Amino acid sequence: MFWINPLMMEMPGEFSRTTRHALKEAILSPRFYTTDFKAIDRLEIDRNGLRDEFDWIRDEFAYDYNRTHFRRTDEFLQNFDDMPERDAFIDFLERSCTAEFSGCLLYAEMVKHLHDPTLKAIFKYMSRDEGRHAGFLNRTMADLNVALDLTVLQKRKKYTYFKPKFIFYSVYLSEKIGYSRYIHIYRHLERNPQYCIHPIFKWFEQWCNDEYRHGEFFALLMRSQPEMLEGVNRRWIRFFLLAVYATMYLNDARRSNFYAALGLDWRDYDQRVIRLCNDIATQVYPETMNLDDPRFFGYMDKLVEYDRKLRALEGRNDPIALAQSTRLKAAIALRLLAIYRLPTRKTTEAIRWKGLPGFPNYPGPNRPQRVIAAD
Amino acid sequence: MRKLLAVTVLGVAAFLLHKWYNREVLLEGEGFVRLQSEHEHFHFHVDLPPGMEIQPGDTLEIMHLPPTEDGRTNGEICYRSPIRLYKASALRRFLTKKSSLIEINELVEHP
Repeated sequence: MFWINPLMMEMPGEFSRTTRHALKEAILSPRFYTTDFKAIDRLEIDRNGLRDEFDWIRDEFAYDYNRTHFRRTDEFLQNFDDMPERDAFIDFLERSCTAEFSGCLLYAEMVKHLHDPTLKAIFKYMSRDEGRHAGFLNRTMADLNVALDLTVLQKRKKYTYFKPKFIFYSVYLSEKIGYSRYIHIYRHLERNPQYCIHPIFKWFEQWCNDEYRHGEFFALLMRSQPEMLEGVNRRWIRFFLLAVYATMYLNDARRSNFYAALGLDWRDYDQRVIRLCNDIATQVYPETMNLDDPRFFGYMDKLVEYDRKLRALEGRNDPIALAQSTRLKAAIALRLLAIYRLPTRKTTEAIRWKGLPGFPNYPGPNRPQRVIAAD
Repeated sequence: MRKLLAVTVLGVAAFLLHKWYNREVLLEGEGFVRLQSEHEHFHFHVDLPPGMEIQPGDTLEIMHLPPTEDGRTNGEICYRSPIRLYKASALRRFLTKKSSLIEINELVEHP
């Protein structure tokens, strides 16, 4: 297992909150969604004989594998004043907390509006998990002397709308890529403990199993509605695959220093994360991006280059800068279109994702016994 | 003259569309808020009174938030609070529904 870099540790006894850094205020801006809840409620999950599988996955969530996982240890009480990339780490915590909190809110909305008892229960369990993750991150921010501005939750909040199928495609990928990101960081720090800049990373292995499980549910939900995976919807699938991968690639390129502090080369890390997520996505998507086509990551690298140039123009309002900015935005859009148009990889039985070793898979309609726990 | 008339008509139309887009109907009531911001859990839910339903483009305002220390609670706080629901115009509702893909990064962002 790994441990904390001893160079970061303060004198014994000087634990509890950091003191040298001024109180910082984090403003979480969770997303507030609405969708066509009635349409989701009308989904016939019995249609293809998958009710038993839905009941099984509900029981998996009810089992609550991580009930006791998010307990802090004394390691969290060290002083992290001098940790590398402290601000970038806080930014990471803020973004993670916002994402988890948004998930908690979205799933809680589903619970309010749905009537099918199985779906209602599943969303309730997933909301529980996301709220728990957000709480863990919330407390870690408190350790670093970061206050939360909760008044943003109180102020006028605009509700954005997404079609149910868009939510399914994207949240499925978001959960799976979240798993892929967390497990890659965990495995890397397990091999290279000198880069473990904060103990929270040690919690990632079981944490990301929650994300994986949530993704399994969305995969099942889409399998129960085969029309979501056919015809014109294949284009939407490709669109969301690209949206998720490109968003992550650009975001991480901007935060390369943070990944360097973890001993990771952001580009290599992202490519491995995308490869795993793309492989997992074959469990349900009829086609995925062809990552073996050298143009795929070649074009993604071009996006990063354009984005860097674009950010270098920030703060300038002169006509030349505006023209350059427009040209770069157009170049990004065209490059995204070029990636979108690349031939995809068709899912065959030979390449279809078979599941994670040791992770519970549906044991069949008779369910002879409980499968070994993921953790 | 025709040009001036056309510009005037376009201007009036744009003004009316703008007014229509921003038109809101305010509904007030009392909601039940549950807030927990601590290590064990972080959630925030509001139960709206019967008859109030949030639709695309609407905005919600909670009028009361109890004081907390650094934004953290000690356990779950449950309380009744006056709430304001600003119902969006049909135009804003339509555009919110149609423009969701522009805001796609909201859905695909992940830690």
